[in-house]
Amino acid sequence: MEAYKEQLKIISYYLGKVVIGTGLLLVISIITAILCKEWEPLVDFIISFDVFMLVGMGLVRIGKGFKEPVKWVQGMMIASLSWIVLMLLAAIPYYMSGHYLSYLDAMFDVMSGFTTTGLGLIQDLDHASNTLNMWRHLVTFVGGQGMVVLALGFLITKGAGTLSMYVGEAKDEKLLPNVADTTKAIWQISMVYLFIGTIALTIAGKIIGMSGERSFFHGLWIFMGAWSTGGFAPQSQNILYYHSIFYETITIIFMVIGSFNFALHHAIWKGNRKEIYKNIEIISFVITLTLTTSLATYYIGKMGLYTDAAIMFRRVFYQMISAHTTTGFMNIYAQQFLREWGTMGILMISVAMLIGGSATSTAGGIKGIRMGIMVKSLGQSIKRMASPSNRICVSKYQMGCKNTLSDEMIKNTLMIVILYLITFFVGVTATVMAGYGLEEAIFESASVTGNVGLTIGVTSPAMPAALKVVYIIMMWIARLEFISAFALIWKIASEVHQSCIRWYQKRV
Amino acid sequence: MYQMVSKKGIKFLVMIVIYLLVVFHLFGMASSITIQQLVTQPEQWDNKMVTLQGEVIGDVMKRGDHVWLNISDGSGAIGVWIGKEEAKDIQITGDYHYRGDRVEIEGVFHTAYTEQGGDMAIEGKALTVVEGGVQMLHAISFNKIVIVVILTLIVVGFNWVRILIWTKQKLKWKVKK
Repeated sequence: MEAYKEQLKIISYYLGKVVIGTGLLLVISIITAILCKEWEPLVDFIISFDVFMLVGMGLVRIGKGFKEPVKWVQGMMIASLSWIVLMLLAAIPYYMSGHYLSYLDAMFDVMSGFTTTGLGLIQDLDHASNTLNMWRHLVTFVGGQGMVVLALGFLITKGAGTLSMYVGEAKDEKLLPNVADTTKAIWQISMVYLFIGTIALTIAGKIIGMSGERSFFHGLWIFMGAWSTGGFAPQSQNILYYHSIFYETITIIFMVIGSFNFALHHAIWKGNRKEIYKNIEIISFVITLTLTTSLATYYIGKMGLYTDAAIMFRRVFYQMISAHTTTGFMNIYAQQFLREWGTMGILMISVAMLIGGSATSTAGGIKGIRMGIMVKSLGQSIKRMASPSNRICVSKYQMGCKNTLSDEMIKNTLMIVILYLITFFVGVTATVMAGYGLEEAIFESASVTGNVGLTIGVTSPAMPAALKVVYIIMMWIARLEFISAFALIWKIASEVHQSCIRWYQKRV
Repeated sequence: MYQMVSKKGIKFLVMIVIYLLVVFHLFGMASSITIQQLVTQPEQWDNKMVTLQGEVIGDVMKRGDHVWLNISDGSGAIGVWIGKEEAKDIQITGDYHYRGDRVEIEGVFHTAYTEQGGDMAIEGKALTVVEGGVQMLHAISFNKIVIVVILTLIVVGFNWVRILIWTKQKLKWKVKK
């Protein structure tokens, strides 16, 4: 019983820290409300801030005084549970804004933001306040880096078990020997790009005819959406609102670099520029992007909708790069996928969405490293079969340094890929069961599993509540890359099982 | 006599219907529809004159002697490429603080507007402001203010007690030292 209490204390303490850390971000929205004279949202956000602080401080108070160090499973549970608790809390200002039909819709939007998916159930987005938009984009920006990463970097600087929390949030590569330094480095990289990106998009906004204040806010939010590969935008038409190839090109740049591994950014910053040409994830990204885009362009071209090749490339390439980086920005309408892209177009974009970006990045999906490892292991197997039995075949791949492909690595990779595919098929089945067509189900399920955010029109406030819940679970589980989510589910299930046994023994 | 009039009347009506159909077809008379209809059945309206009403949202983005504006009719939003001169009457655009001007747009709908980069959009020919925009009132509920005050006091109180305990402990530690 004592050990159980100790475990709860540890989880409560760190969970409280993560809640406080995320809650402090509400101050940015509160400042925005004051600057933009949005008084009703100001009140909503102060209430939300108070709730965050009370819950956070309460959890820290409950957990204070634990003696044992954080174990690996506990770290995993803290990471996965943080996302659930934050979803419940961060939905408060969403729901209070009146832009959501139910609290479930608000939670869906929050989970979509935190997991950098970008699917939205918001109503009347074109009249949403700057305060609400700031929070929506902050949620996705922080989600890209990871809320636990944020807390680890600034609030939980020391202590054993921090590595398990870091890994629990699907970040498995350390940029620096220390976890706290690694998380700080991730934030430093993001903040430098935030500064550059906001300036670039603000200038672009002015050039395309937007007013000064709006071009700044839009620049900031669109950067956040692009860099975090989230795909949220402040207008209901998403990127189509801007009617500008110039603006689209800038978003492409930030979508692509946002989907790169933070370790790669760090290596380039440190002067190792050759890494970009050798890195297995970049090679994998270039190959799969070229293949899927070429096939999609060829088949869409055959349908004859676009008479101009340059225009077709602009539409198809933008959607494909948005899908492959798992961003979800769109410069066409959702309905156009089903009507104009054809089966092959939908298949190719679904494949791109499932593959996704790089590991330890803001992107979702199976990830480039796993695609690379799978191809390398296939090559290794063929080599082994063709070689004499006494010959040892070794495959290597470049990621920071030359790594040797081990059987353990291949096994882990295949396990994650299989889990991704199972999640995808669960999503397809649930969507078909909800009454949608197979093409729609494949597209939307790939988008949810890969944390992309492109929609074919399935995701809307009118979709069944059960499907919303299934999508929330899919987004969460896929973003955390299963392990930490399974650790939490397993722990809860075993506790329930134990309680049932105790209850039964008492009765008998 | 009654039969004669009736036959003449029918003939007259048929002639009028044929005339109107020919005129509508030749001169591309605009048909009033919603944005949702345009987006969901684009092939039906491609390169045809349409008329739609909606609120101007966001920005009127000036591009040379034309502007890009976006209108929303509640069922969806769509871009309109129109001459600067035609759009000069727009005063207020919709955002959190304002409900934008309600305008009637007459123009050609393009599934992929080739001259403008392939956007699904309307090539506007004429724009009329049907209803001026207004400032939206966002009243703050009294209950919310009460909740804010209570919660803020609790948070401040909680932190104050924490600071007090921390200072006390620090003093004790100093005395011991």
